[in-house]
Amino acid sequence: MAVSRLTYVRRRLGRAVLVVVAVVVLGFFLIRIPPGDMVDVIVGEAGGADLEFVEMMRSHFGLDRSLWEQFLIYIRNVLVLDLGFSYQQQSPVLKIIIDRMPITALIAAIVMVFGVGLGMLFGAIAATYVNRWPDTLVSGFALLFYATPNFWLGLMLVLLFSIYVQWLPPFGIRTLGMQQTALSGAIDLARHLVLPVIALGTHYVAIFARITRGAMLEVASMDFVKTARAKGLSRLQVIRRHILRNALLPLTTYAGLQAGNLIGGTVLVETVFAIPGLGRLTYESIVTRDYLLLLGILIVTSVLVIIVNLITDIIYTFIEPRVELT
Amino acid sequence: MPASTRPDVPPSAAVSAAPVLSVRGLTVRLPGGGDREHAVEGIDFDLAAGEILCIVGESGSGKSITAQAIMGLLPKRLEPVAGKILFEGRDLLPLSDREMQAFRGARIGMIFQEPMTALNPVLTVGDQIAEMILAHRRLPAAEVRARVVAALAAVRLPEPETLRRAHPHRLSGGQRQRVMIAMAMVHDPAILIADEPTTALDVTTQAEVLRLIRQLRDDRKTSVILVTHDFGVVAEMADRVVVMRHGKVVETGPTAEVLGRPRHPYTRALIDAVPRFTTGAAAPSDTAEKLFDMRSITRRFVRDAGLFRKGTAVVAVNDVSLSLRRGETLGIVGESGSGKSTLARCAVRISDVDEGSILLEGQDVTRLRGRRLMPFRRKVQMVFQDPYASLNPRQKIGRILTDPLRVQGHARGPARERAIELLRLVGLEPQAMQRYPHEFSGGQRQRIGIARALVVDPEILIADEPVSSLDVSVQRQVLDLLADVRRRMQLSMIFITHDLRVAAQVCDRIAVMQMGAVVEQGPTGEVFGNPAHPYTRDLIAAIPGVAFFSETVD
Repeated sequence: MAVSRLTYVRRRLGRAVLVVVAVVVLGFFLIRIPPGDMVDVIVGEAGGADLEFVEMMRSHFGLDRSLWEQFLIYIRNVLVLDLGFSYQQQSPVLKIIIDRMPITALIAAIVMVFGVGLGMLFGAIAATYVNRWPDTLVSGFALLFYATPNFWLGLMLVLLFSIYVQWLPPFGIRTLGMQQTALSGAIDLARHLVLPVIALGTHYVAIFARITRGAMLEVASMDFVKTARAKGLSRLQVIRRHILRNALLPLTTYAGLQAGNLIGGTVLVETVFAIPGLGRLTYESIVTRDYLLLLGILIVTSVLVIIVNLITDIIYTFIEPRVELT
Repeated sequence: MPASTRPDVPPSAAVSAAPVLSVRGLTVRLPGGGDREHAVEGIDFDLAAGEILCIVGESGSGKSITAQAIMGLLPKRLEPVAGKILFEGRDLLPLSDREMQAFRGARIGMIFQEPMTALNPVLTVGDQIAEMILAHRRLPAAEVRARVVAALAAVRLPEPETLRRAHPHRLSGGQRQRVMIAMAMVHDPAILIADEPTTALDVTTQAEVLRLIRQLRDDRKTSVILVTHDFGVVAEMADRVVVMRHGKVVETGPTAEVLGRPRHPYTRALIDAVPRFTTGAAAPSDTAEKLFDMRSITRRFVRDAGLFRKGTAVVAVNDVSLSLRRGETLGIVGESGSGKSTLARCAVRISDVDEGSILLEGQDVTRLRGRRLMPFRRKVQMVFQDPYASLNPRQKIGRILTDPLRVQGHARGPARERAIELLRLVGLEPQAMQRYPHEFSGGQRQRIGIARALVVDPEILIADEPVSSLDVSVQRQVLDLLADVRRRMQLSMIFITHDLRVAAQVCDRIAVMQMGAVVEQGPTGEVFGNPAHPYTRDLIAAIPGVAFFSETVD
């Protein structure tokens, strides 16, 4: 039975809560499967300690309690948005995540916009000139960039643009020791983000170009395109109003699915370019066995992905009239 | 809507002035590697003002290619190499795509076979018609809207003001085809080309759409080119006929002449292959034993069920009772959505029933599952509608035919022999065993489908629209084959079809289904000769060319 858009969103949110709960439960137990804990790391970094001290630390952090007990404590805290305290970073987990999130979100958003935008443009060109030289060119480059690992591309970009020609900074997000106004700060940030965005973005441009091309070719063979031509529309009108418009449907679905992937991609790029974002934080929390931090990141990113997917689905209901909201 | 406005004398006699369209020596080359060099070759015909010209032929005859060539909408790989298409004295063939745009839609309108896919699914009906208007004229928005509403009203669509804001998926097939016609007629074109406009529609809808096309012709003096494979439609609609075969015109002439006194043997063969709507079949005996009994079958489908929600039930088959006597053929007729295919799926136990029981030779098989269904599977087999989709493309014919036997526990050797025997029975060579389905034509595949059903030596064959997707001459052959195997193997058959002409020929008894229920059943002669239910009468009245093709039968 079809329902109003509002009811639909409410129902979807209800289901999203279930997913988050599942993520918390699975995450909590999965993280504890590999042997070793935070105390091992601290002791290792300190060069060793006696057994009594180790036990004391474990009981201090609550690690000596049963897994169930730890789980119940954690759940109780999560319910009041307390994700715990990271001893490695000496700061509450939620605060660390909120500090690190904006730069990652910015990179992800730029990559998404450029990836979809340029990808659609190139894909449309390739589909329009299918099997002619523009298609060969676009498809060739799409395949090349699709297959190129983005951390390698990042290193090569640094080598070329920061070391040889020295146009752009090789790492970080701001020039140290520079007096910054709002404008010059923004420009400085933008200069720092060019290389990471390219390193991560080419992959998505390639993916979306390929998907756009494929979707457009599929739509082009459909009957209503013949109808559109029989109306006496120009080639460009047929492509824009009928072919591209319908090719948007699979593209939107795919873009939504890529949101989760994109966060994974930032881990590598932020590490290569030394950007203090969520991606690098993930990496740090893994090597230091900062369980609470890692779990916090896991929860926050899943919530983000769920929200992005929900937004995608809502957008979809606007561009695809055949979807029945249930 | 008034009844047929067709005058007794076709207007072709009156409209012998200069033709609107003359096709002369049109030749379109096929890309290399095909079984013939030209898609169409040396096509000649004229279209007079206000005339309905039917181009009739089987698939591959080049009739659609001809229509597309007139519109300048040939696929890129097909290239016109000779001839002229003179429209109001001007040759359209050498025009560029851009130059053709002025003609398409404005002077020559076109509608297509599949109304379900011919409209853009993401744009509203009104937007699509408005687009057509704006493609050729600059008009203010309010004027465009008024014209859209007028166009929808002209094809008798209800509530045009609401309808224009609807997306195509809200409309039925017949309504969509009306929208297509409204759109094609919006600029009052000189020519309307309709490429199999009713082939995908139910018979009653088809009759309405054909009536509408004729009405528009009468009112606006539009010339119509109607491409069809159905001689019933020809008899119903055409003033003149062009018969095509293998890319060539074999015969042209006024409808009465071509249908009444065909000169070319191919035309004659095609007309003979049209199933006659005969109503004089002998009543079957009631004494034979009841072989297969379906009692009060009800089948519901649940829509939109979710994790925490019960969906809404749709009753596809509602309290249907039918029985099949040994040796007879029971026809189930009805339009799409009437539940006949669902009933067939219940009968072969592919689909469960919600209520009622199915008895085979007196034994209840309704609730049997898995292994215990095996004896039933051996006795009841099914032939499907689509010979392209119903054979696994990755399996050789040998595998397709022997699998049912292997499942029944036969050894490899005897299974192969039996498969070859069946291939011979359906008129195929044993070499077919080594080949894949795509190497066969539609008719051959349907023969393979029949062989697969028969390989386990069943007693009952359930055929769901077995000839609906086949050309009329192939249809004839497959029907003959079914009649032949039925006699030889003493089969009882349930034959499901939307085509009353086919049903009249094949079936001893008929059940008419509408909206999930059987509204009338009885011996074929009685049901069709003296229909009791108004729906049955509607169905019979809607058969295209019913008058022509039941009177000419001897």
